[in-house]
Amino acid sequence: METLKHILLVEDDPKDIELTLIALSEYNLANKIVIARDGLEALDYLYHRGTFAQRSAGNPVVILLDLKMPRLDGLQVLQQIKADEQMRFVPVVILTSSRESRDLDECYKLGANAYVVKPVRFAEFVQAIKQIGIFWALINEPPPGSATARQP
Amino acid sequence: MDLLMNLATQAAAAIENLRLFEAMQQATEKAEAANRELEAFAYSVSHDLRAPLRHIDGFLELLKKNLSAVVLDERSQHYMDTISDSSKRMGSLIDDLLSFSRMGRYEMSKRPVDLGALVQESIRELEPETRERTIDWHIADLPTVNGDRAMLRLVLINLISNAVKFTSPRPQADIEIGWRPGRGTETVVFVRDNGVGFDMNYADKLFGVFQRLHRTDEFEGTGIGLANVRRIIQRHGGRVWAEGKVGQGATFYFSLPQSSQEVQ
Repeated sequence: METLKHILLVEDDPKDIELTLIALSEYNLANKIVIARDGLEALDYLYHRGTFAQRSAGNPVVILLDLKMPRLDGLQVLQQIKADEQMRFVPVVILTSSRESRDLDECYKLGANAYVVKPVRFAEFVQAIKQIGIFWALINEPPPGSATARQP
Repeated sequence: MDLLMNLATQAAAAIENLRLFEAMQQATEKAEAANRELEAFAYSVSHDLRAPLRHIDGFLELLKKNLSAVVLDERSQHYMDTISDSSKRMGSLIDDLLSFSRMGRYEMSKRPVDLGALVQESIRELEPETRERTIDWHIADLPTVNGDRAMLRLVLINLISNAVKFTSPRPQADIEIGWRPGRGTETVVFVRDNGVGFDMNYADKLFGVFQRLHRTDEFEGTGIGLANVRRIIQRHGGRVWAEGKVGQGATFYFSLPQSSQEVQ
């Protein structure tokens, strides 16, 4: 059974979640967003564990990953994903407030596909999120193992 | 007896040297610890302050959109515009504070630097600001100095961009960049302009962090440029100072302690 293409948003701040969903809503991507509120939830989702044990098969076409989250943070999630044979081709876009070079270096070292600093200005934030969504969900061909069906 | 006295004097000197060396080690360790604290602070500023700023901007824009069907009275519109401007301003201040703290942490690498070439590069970088202006450039044959190229470039860009900014009321700007030997092996470089100048009574405020001698509505800026210049030149072991007269231009000087004759 084909499952819908979806994006996994890993973000702990509810205000950032709200702004991101609004930014994605214009291109009809919002109903295909799964939200994980911290690193542990993200991994539960990816590995069909806990509250996500019953979710349908297929990896997200991209993971939008915040870095600073309580308990398991973004770097640790990134590390686990990229070390996992089944998971490592899932594109990961780091989406963070931090422009610090040490975070940039670490993320790329661990195999992040992209690193985007959340713009402070709303218009730019919307543009950035939209372009990321369009590229990874519509333009890019997702790796094997991803959910592939498009919204009817 | 003489031999014993000599040995005793030498021993005393050696002990004193060791004591001074240890004191210096401790001072260096203290400075490094302070640096690390500053780094952690700057990092948290970068992340923690930007998030609520982003939210203010985001939800303000959404509010405006939501209210677009309503005809807002002028006062309400003005209040919203003020909130928007203030959050923009806060963003600039945060960015500038971060870049200033980075100046203190960045690893310097001292090499021979061709100041003449660096000045030309800086002027090219400022092309967007000089494009529509009439500027008469007088640039002397500048020497090669010892320093960190990237940091000195920032010094020149800041000083030249200030000259360009504060001469904007003039139909023709005259900007002079020159040099002269200073104390000992010092090289003193200056940037002189025929702009609006400043009141020497406030000269000690010029290089302070976020200190300005003009209002934001007179000339834009946060007041971090000269603070960065001073920090960089201090790290090179040099000094910064300025002379000016209200309405009659200003000259900004910086010294670099080693001339091109001594390469480290």
